[in-house]
Amino acid sequence: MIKHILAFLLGVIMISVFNSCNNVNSFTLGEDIVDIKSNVIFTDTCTIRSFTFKTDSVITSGTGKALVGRYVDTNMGNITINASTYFQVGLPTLPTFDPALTYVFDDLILCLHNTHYVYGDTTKVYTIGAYRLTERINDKVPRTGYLYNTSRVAYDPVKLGETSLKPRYVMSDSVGIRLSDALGKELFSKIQNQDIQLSNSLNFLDYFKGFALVPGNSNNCVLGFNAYDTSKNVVYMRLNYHQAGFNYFIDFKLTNGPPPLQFNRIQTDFSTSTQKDLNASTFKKQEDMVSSILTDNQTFCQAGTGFVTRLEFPYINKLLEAGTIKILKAELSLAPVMNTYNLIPLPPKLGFDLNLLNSSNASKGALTNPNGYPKFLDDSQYKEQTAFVYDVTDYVRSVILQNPDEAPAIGVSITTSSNLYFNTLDRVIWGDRFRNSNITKLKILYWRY
Amino acid sequence: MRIIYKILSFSLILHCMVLSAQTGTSSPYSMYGVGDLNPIGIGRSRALGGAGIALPTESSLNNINPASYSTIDSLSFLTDIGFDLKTSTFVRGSDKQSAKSAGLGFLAVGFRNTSWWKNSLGLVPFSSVGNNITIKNKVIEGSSDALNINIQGTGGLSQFYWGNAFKILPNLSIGANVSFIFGNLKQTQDMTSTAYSGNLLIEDNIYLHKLYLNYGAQYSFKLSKNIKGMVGLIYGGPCKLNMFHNTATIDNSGVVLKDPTTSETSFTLPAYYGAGLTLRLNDKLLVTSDYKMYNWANTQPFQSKIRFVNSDNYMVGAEYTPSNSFRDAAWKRFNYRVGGYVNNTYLMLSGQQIQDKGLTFGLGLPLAQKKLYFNFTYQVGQKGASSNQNIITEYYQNFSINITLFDFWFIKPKFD
Repeated sequence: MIKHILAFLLGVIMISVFNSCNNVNSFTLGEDIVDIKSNVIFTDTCTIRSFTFKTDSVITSGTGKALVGRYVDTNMGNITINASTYFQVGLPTLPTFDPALTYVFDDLILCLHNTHYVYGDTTKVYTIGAYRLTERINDKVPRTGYLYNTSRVAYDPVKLGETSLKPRYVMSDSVGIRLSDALGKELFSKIQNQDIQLSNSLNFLDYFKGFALVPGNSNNCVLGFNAYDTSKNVVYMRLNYHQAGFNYFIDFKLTNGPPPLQFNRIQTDFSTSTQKDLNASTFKKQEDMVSSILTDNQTFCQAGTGFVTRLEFPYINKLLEAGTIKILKAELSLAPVMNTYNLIPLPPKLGFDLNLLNSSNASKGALTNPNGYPKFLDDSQYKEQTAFVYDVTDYVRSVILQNPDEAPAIGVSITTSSNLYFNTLDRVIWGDRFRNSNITKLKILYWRY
Repeated sequence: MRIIYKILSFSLILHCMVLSAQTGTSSPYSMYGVGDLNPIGIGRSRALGGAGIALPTESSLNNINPASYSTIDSLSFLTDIGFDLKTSTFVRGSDKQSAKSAGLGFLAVGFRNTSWWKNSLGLVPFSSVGNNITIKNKVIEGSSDALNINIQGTGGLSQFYWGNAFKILPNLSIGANVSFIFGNLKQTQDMTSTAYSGNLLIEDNIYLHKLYLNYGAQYSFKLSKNIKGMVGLIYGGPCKLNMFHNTATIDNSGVVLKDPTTSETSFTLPAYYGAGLTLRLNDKLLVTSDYKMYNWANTQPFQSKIRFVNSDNYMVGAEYTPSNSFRDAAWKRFNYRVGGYVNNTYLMLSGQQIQDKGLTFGLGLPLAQKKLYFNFTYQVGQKGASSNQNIITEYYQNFSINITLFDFWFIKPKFD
C-alpha cells in the first residue's frame, strides 16, 4: 500500500512538472471563428447646439500692438469690424534755441512702424486718419486698470492728418502721417518760447492729450503697428525744422503707462449686416446669443471683438440609456467653414481656448488638453476634413452625469495665452452640427459593459 | 479494511490533484462550450483508434464502458496513470502557428469488491480549455480607431468517477459510472487600443460541478474454438451543467467597474449512445470497432458564429500479440496496436462540420510477469474542414504513456 501511495505521489510530481510546461501561445488565427462583441462603440451623432455670443469687453490696452482699420466680413454676415487706436505722446527734453538765429519749421509727422500684422484685403486702398484727443486717456482708465475694446476717449473731429496706401505694395516698415502745419507751427513756437505748457509732462498732456488713429470709411483692411514704448520702432511724432541748412528734429514718443494707456477700440458695426439676426440688438449683453441655425449654420470666434462660440450637448446623457458605459475617449472636432479663411488665415493650432461656460456665458474654468492635443487636421486640398480636434474626455465624463440644464457648455474663443485674443482680430467661422460639410462633431468612444 | 485503505489513499492523492488535473490544450477550438472534450479512452483504447466499448479491462483499465471493470482480475488492484504530450500546428491558408501542451492524462484504480461486483475509481480530464486568440486592428465601426482584442480561455473540467460493474450472468456484465464533473474555466477578454491607454478587461470565472451517470453493458461470446467476441453498449443521458459565473469588469485605468457579479448559466452535455464489437482470433489478433453518437443538436453554443450539430464517431483498432508465452522473447509478448478514427465533431463553422480524424499506433509492454504494463501510444491526426481553406486545420500529434500497476506485483511471495 505504501508503494501505491509512493506511486501516486510520483504521479503528482509528474503532473506538476508536465503542467508547468503547458504553453498557451497567443493565436492570431481564429479571428474568423470568434464572435467578438467588443461593445466598444463609437458615435459622432451626438447633438450639438452651437451659438455665438459676444463677451462684454476685451482688454486691449498695453498689448504692444496698435490696430487700425476696417473690415467688412462677408463671411460674418457683412458685419463691419472697426479698429481705431488711442495713445499719448510724451514730452522729450527740448533743445535750447539761440535767439540770435532763425529756426524755420518744416513739418510735423506722425511715424508708425508696421508689425506686419495684416487682416483683411490688402489690395484695397487703406486710409488712416490722425485726430487729436480732447480727453486724457488716463482719466478714462477704470478701477480695473485696463482699457477695453469698448473704452471711449473723445477726440476732436477735425482731422490732423491723413495718409493712404495699398498695404500689399507698401510693405516698408514705417508709415508717416503728415500732421497739420498749424499744429506744427503752434508747437514749434511754444517750444521756442519755452511756453509753460511744455514746462513739464503733466502740463504737456493737458495741452496735447494724444492721438486717435481712425480708419477711413472705405478701408477693407486692418493693420497692426508697433505700440511698445520701449523698442526703437516706437510710434513718435516728429517735428522737423532747420536753421541755415542744418536739419533738426524733435521726437515726441508714445508713452505707455503704467497703467498701460495705449489701447485699441474695436467696434462691431451691425449696420452693414445682411443677416437679419445679426443686428445691433443681437448682442446687448454677454448672455445674449444667437443660434447657428440663424447664422447660416455657422458660429463665430474672434479676438478683439470678443465673439465666442458656445457649444451645448443637450442630449449627451442619453448615452447612458445604452446601459452602463465607460467613456474611453471624447474628441471635439471643430470644423472651420471652407472658403472663410482664404483672405483671413486660420489661427494657429494653439490659437483657441476652451472654457466651461454657465448659462449666462460666464467662464467657470478652462478645459485643459492632454499631450498630443489639440490636433490640427489639415485638409489643404479639399478643406472638407480640416478641423481642430480637442480632447474633451473628462468633460464628457462629467456632463454625462449631470442634468443637461445644469451641465456647463463649452466656450471656444481665440486664446488669451499668446495675446492673440487681445491684440489681433483673428477669427474663425465654425460649421455647426447640422451642415453637410465642415461639421463640428463630438466623437465619443465608449465601452458598454 | 483493505478497501478502506485504498479509498483513503486514493482520495488523499485526489486532493493534491484537483487543481492540476486538466490536460493542457492549446486550440482555438477549445473556446466553445466547456472546451475540448477529451477522448474518454485511456491506455489501450487510445492505441486502438479510441475504440473500447467492447473491450474488457485487461492490460489497462477501460473506462469507456463501465461494464468492463467486471474483468478486473480478482487478485489484482490496478493502478493506472497516464501522461500526454501533444503538439499541434494550426494552419489557415498561409498562416501557421504551433502549440504544445502536456499533462496528466488520468489517474485511476480498479479493484474487486466481491466476485460479482467490481469497482474503479478515477480522475480523468473531462474537457480542457486553452485558447489565446488575438484579434489585431479590429476597426471600431465609424471611427478611425482600432482595437486589439485578446481572448484567453484556460481551465477545464475533471471527472471523478466511481465505476461499478456487475457480472449478472457468466457472459453478461452491466455497469455504471457515477461521476462527479467539476472544474473551473476562466475566460478573459482584454481590449487595448491606441485610442485609450490601458486595458479593458472582462474576467469571467466559471465554476461548475455536477453529478452524472452513464451506463454500459458487455456480452462476451464464442463463435468457434478460435474466435471469441464481445459486444458492448454504452449510454449516457443529457447532463445539464450549471455554470456559476463570477465576472469582473475592469476599466482601462484599473478601476473595477463592476464588482465581481455572480450569475448562472447552463450548458447541456448531450446524451450519447454507443455500440461496439470485438473479435479475437486465437488470443493473438484482436479487432475492435465502435460507433458513438452524441446528440449535440439540442445544445446551443455561447457563440453565434458556430452551431452545434450531432456528432458521429467511428473508431476501429486492431491489436496483435505474437505470443502469450513467458518463454518467448520479450518482443513477441508485446502488444502491437494500430487504429483509426473519424469523428464528425459537434462543431459546425460556416456551414462546415469540423472533422477530426487520425491514426493511432501503440505498443503494450507487459513487464514483471504482467504485473506492470507500459502502454505507449502515438496518435497523429487532423481536425478541421479540409474543403474550406478559411477554417483552421489543426494537425496534431499526441504521445501518451500509460502505466498500469497490478497490486500483487508488490506482494513478496512467502516462499521466495
